[in-house]
Amino acid sequence: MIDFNAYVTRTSGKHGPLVQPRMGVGPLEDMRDGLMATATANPATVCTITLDSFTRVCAFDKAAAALASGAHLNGFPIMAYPREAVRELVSEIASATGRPVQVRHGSALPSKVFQRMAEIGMTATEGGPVSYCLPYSRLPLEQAVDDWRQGARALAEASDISHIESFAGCMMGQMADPALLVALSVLEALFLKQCGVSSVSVSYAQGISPTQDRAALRALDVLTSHYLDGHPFHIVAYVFMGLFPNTMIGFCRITEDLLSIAQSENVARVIVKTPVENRRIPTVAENVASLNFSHHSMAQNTMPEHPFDNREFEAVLARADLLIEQTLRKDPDVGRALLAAFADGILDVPYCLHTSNRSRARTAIMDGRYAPAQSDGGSTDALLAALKFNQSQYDVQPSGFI
Amino acid sequence: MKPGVPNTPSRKALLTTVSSDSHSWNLIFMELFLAERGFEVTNLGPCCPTELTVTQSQETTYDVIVISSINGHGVIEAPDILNALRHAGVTTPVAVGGKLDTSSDLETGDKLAQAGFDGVFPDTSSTLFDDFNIFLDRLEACHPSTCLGCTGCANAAAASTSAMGVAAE
Repeated sequence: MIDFNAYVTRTSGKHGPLVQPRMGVGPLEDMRDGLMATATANPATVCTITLDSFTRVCAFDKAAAALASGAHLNGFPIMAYPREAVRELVSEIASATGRPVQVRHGSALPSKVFQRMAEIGMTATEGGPVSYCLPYSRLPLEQAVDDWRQGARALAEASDISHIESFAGCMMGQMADPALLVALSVLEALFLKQCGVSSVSVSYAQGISPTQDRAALRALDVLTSHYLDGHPFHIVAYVFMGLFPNTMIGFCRITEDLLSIAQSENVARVIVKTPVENRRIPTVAENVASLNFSHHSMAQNTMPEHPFDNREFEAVLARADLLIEQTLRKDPDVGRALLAAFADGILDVPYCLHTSNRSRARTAIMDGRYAPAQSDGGSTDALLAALKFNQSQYDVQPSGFI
Repeated sequence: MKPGVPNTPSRKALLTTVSSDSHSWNLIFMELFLAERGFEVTNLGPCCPTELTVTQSQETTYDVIVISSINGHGVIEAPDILNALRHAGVTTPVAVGGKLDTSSDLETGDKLAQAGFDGVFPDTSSTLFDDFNIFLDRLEACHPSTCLGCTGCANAAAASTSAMGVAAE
């Protein structure tokens, strides 16, 4: 098996940030085609197996039944296949292309899937007890923390190259204070380190301001280095996860803004989107086109440059560090510290409706940047304008010529 | 789960979604939308189990139940919620809206109307929010003497009795 963190760190040192899709289909042969197409698209790709949403909620029998009936699953049902078949699939990709594969799943209860990964010999995955519970699940946070602890430990015990990426840089997709995203990413990484995971990655999703995003990525690097204290890690950045531009030009512009700052900051991996994101799940060909567009854009060096703003960096750094410090003070066990910090409202994800979240915090847009706020203006017009901020920034009229 | 914006509300709305839909922003938006129109909103949040929608609507009397869904499973799952509500004896008007199928089929709205929803607001309609506003206004206007006989409306029985009375005269 390939050491995911070592591969990403080494290869991004040579090619710049690696590019990775989200990709998962039901049939094994189609999954193999998707992995092969990703691995051979360009020298700087990382492969993904995204699991289906039945598997995400541990409805393994439903995933198997859907697969057997020939229904279109929205991901790869890893539990529905014999271990040997999946092991062969991943080994084939590794021996033919030398590329590692990351399992992406979206589960608040991942221990059974992680156990299966360990049995198969797979080592790299992502998520987190907070980032896969609060936005998408109704499970109490405590239950997610327990199951994540169990799953991460199982993965760590099975291999000395286990890797888990914290998904916390993407909370709610948009309208989150960058400092909160940075703090949660570092905290989940610490949780994973405590579970014994060999290496981690910390994430950050593009917001509405390249200047603010650069500052946040720098703060994420500084704080992760400090708190992980020598534990191996790399940084992954996501192209905007909220209401996405509708046009081809909007896709190109927003993607290039993120790639440009990823190149300038210490980002080793980028999760890219496709121009069809708003309407449907992209095909393999569309994913490959997007990977190649991104790799090509970075190689050409013709992207807009965004300056580093030290004041913005100091501001994000100070806010994020305070949140981390206040949380860690709650308990030496990071899982219990996270629970206590959410219960006290030290950590509060804006707009998140989960019962373990206070949901008093709001986010405002001030001078084209996200800022923590007590109120968001409170009208549907204001909320809609804020949610569509990137569409209005990046889509150029006339729209819809893709 | 979370209270709406206080606006001296006189009407109550239950906001919910189908059990497979993990999206939140549509619910956050609709909560605000209903609050702006004077509703006190109970927002049950994403991936809401059908049983919770039913028990919540039995515990509190609502003026309207709104099912908002954007994962494309609305046309499959929303009728089950409506049936469970009616089976449990809940007569509150139920509206469903959002991205309700995976293919933007123009017949999806008709299918849901036939399933018995009092209001259907698919995102394939360019006037869905105007239509939804009219639907909400009509709820307010609805009392036994003016009821237009909306399905599921508590006034419908009285209205039909009075209509029969008119016809008999």
